[in-house]
Amino acid sequence: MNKQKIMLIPLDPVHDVGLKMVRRGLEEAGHETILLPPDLPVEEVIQEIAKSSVNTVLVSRTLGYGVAEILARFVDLLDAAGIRERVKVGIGGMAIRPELAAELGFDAGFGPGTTVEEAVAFVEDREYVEAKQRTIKHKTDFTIGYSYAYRHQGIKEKLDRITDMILTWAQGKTSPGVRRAEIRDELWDVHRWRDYEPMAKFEREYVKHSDEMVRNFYENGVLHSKTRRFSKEEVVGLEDYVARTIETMKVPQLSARAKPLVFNQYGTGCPFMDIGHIKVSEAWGADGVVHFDPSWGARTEGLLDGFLTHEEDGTVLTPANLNRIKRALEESTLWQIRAHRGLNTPETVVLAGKIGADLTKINICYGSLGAGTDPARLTVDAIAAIRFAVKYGMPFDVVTNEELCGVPAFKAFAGMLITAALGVRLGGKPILQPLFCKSPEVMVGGQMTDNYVEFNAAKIMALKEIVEAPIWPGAPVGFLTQTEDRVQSSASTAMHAVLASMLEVDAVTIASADEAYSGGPITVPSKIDTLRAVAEALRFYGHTTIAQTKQMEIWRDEIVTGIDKVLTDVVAKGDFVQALYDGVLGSREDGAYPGRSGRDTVVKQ
Amino acid sequence: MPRILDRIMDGLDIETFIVCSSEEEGRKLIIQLLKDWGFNDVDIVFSQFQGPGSRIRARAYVHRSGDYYGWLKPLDKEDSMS
Amino acid sequence: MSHRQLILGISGTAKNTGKTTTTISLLNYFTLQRINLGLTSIGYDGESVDNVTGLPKPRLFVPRGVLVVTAARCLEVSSAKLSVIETLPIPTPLGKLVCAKVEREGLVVTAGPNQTRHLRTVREWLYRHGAELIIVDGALNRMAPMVETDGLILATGASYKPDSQQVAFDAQYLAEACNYLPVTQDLVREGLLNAGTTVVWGKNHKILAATTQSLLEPGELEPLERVAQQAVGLYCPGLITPSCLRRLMEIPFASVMLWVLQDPTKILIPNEPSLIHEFLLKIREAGSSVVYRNPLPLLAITVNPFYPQYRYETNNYEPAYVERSELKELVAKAAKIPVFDVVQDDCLGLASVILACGCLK
Repeated sequence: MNKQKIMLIPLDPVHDVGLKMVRRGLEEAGHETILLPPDLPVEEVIQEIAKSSVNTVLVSRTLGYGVAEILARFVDLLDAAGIRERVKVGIGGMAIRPELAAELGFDAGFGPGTTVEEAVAFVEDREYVEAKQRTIKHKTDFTIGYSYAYRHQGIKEKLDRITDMILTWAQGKTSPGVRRAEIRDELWDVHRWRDYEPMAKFEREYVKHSDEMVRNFYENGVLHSKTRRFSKEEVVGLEDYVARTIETMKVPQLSARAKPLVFNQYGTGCPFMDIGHIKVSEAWGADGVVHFDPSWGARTEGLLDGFLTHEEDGTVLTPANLNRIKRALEESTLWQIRAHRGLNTPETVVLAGKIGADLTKINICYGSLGAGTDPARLTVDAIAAIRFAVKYGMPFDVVTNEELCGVPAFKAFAGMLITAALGVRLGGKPILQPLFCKSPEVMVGGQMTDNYVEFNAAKIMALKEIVEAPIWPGAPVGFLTQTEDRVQSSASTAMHAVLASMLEVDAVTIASADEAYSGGPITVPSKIDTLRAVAEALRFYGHTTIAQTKQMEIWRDEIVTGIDKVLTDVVAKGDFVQALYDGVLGSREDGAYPGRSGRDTVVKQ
Repeated sequence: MPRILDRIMDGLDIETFIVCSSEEEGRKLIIQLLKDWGFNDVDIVFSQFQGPGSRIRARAYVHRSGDYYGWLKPLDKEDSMS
Repeated sequence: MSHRQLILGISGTAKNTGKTTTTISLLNYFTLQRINLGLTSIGYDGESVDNVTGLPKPRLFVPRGVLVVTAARCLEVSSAKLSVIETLPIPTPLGKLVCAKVEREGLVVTAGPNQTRHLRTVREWLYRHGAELIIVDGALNRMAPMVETDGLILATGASYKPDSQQVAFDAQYLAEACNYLPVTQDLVREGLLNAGTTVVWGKNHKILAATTQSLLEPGELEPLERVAQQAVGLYCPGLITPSCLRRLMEIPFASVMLWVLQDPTKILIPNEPSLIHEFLLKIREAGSSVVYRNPLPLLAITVNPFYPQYRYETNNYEPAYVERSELKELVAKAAKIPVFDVVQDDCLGLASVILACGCLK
């Protein structure tokens, strides 16, 4: 690029910081700048430009009463004096938009939020780039670079033995869930489905392994009582809305830090409203979104199809719903479809893979101890689910939500590490998902009487001491700390996110400010509340680190020892599934109850 | 429904401070206010009473999930230009 | 074709003086007269809400068949169906300029060339593609690119100054400044006007002194002052700023002078109308005369009683009006050229003024 000579002209009474920043950027890019004193009369400015040999002029001026005429006259004077032909003229300031720049006769207009780079590009005659393309956000696979090497040999050996135990136990076993997943994998072609081609063979096989409600849907077209189909007009409206939104979308970075990535949950019950929420999350900087499905979906054998809405929390998992949502996502947005807790776990992984999700969620212990699914069934299903996650190239997280039931962290972590070890053995990329929460354990034990930092930090330190694996606290961070007060709720979420960032985890899932409100659906402004709060907190702390305290080390060691002890007990039991039934990984006294859904459905292949 | 309300994605929150003598009074007043404004699907998201009155946030749902959303009606040219 | 070509600028003394309203009525009238029309703007026009005041604005409803030159990004917000003929390599903040034809009538947002040299390119393109009358919509108080037009219609009114008498005075001064004759061809042939700088000459057309192109600072006049006694003519191809205009009035030129200015905008843009009037009056009183190298006649004036009233309490604008008939009468009395009410008068009067230019049938 040739060296350019630029005159910077603050037409305001005071120096504009923006102009000074642009000046620094231009000088760093090797250009020569002249900064005029502020508030010179327009005629004098013209004289200065006439006398100089500048090839670009950048004016800053806040718009106010009568200012448009002054700026228009400035450009007119340049033109009439014959200078306009040899200089490019840009204007920046509050309320400046490209339309106004055109009206005033400038070559470019820079409003609030303009980057220095944009001004430099203008000077260097590179194509005028609209704000939309300003930040190019890329999708990241944050499991890349993790070796899953164990640092704690004792725990590694026990996990190896438990993995062997599980795989041996599961040999020759299958379930309706696994069968459906296989049918979905083999007979359901996403391209043919998108082309509305009939898939009679798939449907015929599929309904054999499904509940009555699902059979009724495929055979008789009867819908679940809580769902309805969309009208044609609604679909046309949605397509129009998505197209218009994507066109004007900016996808900002939430923070300058590469990690943690920030995920938002959605699941309003309606895929249209979800899309509305997702586009807002993206526009306010969320790196990824997590699909929530209704709880009855986890207790029903089989998935429906069609473009369906229903009016409770969670959005029905159907190919059509997921496909719509996928088409509305920005390129850069990570998309997780949770499979983890119910009777459709393996099939959800297949569907997520075929539709194009980036991440899924699989676990055994929480699903069987806290979410109502039979431990034997979920073990068989989870193995199949992990294999499909490998096939479709999706990393998956392993949650520890049983902590919310009252299971102490060390037991929940032992369960998480078992599923993760199984995942690694089968070639998968598990992500550890410890909770950042004010759990029953700490309410009783008092670990958070003084602060929320040390116990949460100890959890991460414990995991890092055991294994080198990606960590994604959630979901969402700050569970049970938020109240209905949106300021408190956003502040708490933001501080948990900062703690996660200081502990150098890979991602966090954050709630909305409506997290604790149970009187109605979450609204979109409440999502913006926490995204704004998290962005501000991450900006404030930047790469500041946290001091390791004595108390953190004590709790870290207690957790590691506790995990080791639980794994020893599972090994001693000789049967992982039996250990789940017997409360080794969370007992009835803790608040964990082995689920009954899908009981006695495991059969020989 | 007026057309501007169509553009509200889901709910409309009103957050304010009401001078009142009890938590219950504050709640009653804000719900009454929203009803007076013609909203029926209303609730209190948050309310905190202290001596001087209540800091309170009430919500009127304009579009609940599963409804027909006004903001999904295709815009005519007239709207898109404003 | 050349006998049927005219380019007309619609300029305003300020925002909201009625430029767009005038443009719309002319478009409609000449479409009915089956005259091939070209349309562009030196600013940004056709938005439904004013960029500055936030008040609603008349929007350009363009009939079928009109050739339009506007920035690429304006196409998508226009409701008229436009078929693009060519994209010109002229960038604007809203994308490159595209030349298009209105296939189905509708609203058009125009943001055309905002520099003189670019308006020249656009004018030639429109003529090449069959335009017989080109209308160039102005922007705010901007004027400079209008030197490429054959004549101006000036929109003025309460939005410029709330005092109708002041509006009338300024209209008078502007009409007076614009409507001097063109320079005679013999001077051009003498080569006096080729230097590209300000010159004065004496008898026998001998150049006595030269200085800068534009007269921006009084110091630049010194070389001319030294030969003032022998001077009979002066040519300035550039701008003349207020300080230079005042200084010129003080220079004791000895005899009757011929003042050759490049075009009216060179004094109109930098100076208040009253100062221009004072300057021109002084020349006339000395028995001297003024001519333009590129004349830009002011053909007619339109007046608009509307103005956006700023409200400090609410920090916004609201519509307001001055007395309609008084405004028109005062301006007509002062300006001595045809004056029309932008809203109340039909287009016939204004159109006949344009037709009288002789270039059109």
